[in-house]
Amino acid sequence: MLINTLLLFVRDLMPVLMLLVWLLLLRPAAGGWRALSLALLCGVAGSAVLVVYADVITELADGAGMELVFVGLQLGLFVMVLLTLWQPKQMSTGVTMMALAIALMVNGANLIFYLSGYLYAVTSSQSIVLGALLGLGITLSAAILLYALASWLGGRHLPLVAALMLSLFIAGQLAHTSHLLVQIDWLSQSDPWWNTAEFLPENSLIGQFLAVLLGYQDTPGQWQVISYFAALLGCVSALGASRFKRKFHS
Amino acid sequence: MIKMLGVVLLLVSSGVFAAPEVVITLKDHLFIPSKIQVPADKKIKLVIINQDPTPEEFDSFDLNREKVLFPGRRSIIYIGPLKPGEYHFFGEFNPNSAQGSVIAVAEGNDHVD
Repeated sequence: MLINTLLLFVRDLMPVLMLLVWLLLLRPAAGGWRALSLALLCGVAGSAVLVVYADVITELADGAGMELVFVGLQLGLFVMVLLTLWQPKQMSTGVTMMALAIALMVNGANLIFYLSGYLYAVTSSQSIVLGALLGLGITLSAAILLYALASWLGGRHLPLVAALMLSLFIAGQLAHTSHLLVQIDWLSQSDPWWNTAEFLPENSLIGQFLAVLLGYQDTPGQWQVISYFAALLGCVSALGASRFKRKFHS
Repeated sequence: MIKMLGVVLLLVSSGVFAAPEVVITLKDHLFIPSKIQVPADKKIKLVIINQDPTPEEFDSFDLNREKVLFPGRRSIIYIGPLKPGEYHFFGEFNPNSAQGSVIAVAEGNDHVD
């Protein structure tokens, strides 16, 4: 359970922290601590609502309720990211913070579902507490390291680097989400386009990290590949439109 | 034309094109039945009823599926079309007891070699 809990934190906490890192690098002001606290509060409250009503939601839409709610939220997150990329400087703090709140809502609910499942299944919670602490330490360290590294390497191109990394991040999240639609038969099943599970399994520590950072998948189907590149195209277009608009106005 | 459209809508709504349904029950951290035989090359609707008082996660690397099963609730997962063969699944929270497999059998075969 120690390894499972550790991987759970990397899978569900890392996306929130990574989103925060790229948003802070893209918009260093980002509304300050008050806006950040409000986003965290909204995200935690949203997670709590999802967890409390999970058993009701799961039976909606002929058993596809939870998947549809997650897909809806992830699409909402994608729109917020597009708006942030489109007008990174002028965009209201509200959009950026809403993106963070949605990410926290989805991943926080998932984290609670799995942690509660693990806690029910074990007689002693020691390994889970240890796994949680290790997971928390690793994800926080990785996020801080990533922030420092990107700030150092990005130089004067830092906003562009952050925008591109944010694009890769959201594309990966959407690719993962499209799989939920395959699971409930809203999208068709296909054979994997490639299989790197033996070389680098997605459920390993590095695999999970790369999945969050770049959207890595070891056996992606056609819809995961399509949604990944469609999301990337959307982000690059928003970024291009933003630069064109700035040049046009200046 | 309108009549044809009406017939198609009727067939869709009556479930004529619906995927075959297989019901699995989770009780005492065991999937019942633990082995399910399904036709190969067809989409299958798995209906999983969790009768335990605790949550479980249906997990399968072979089928590339994972879904949290809430206590006392009915969950749906679509799988396939599958090539003939055996596909393992397990409960993430109780992997030692909650185990099973889907056996996809080609048409005309009674069992998988």
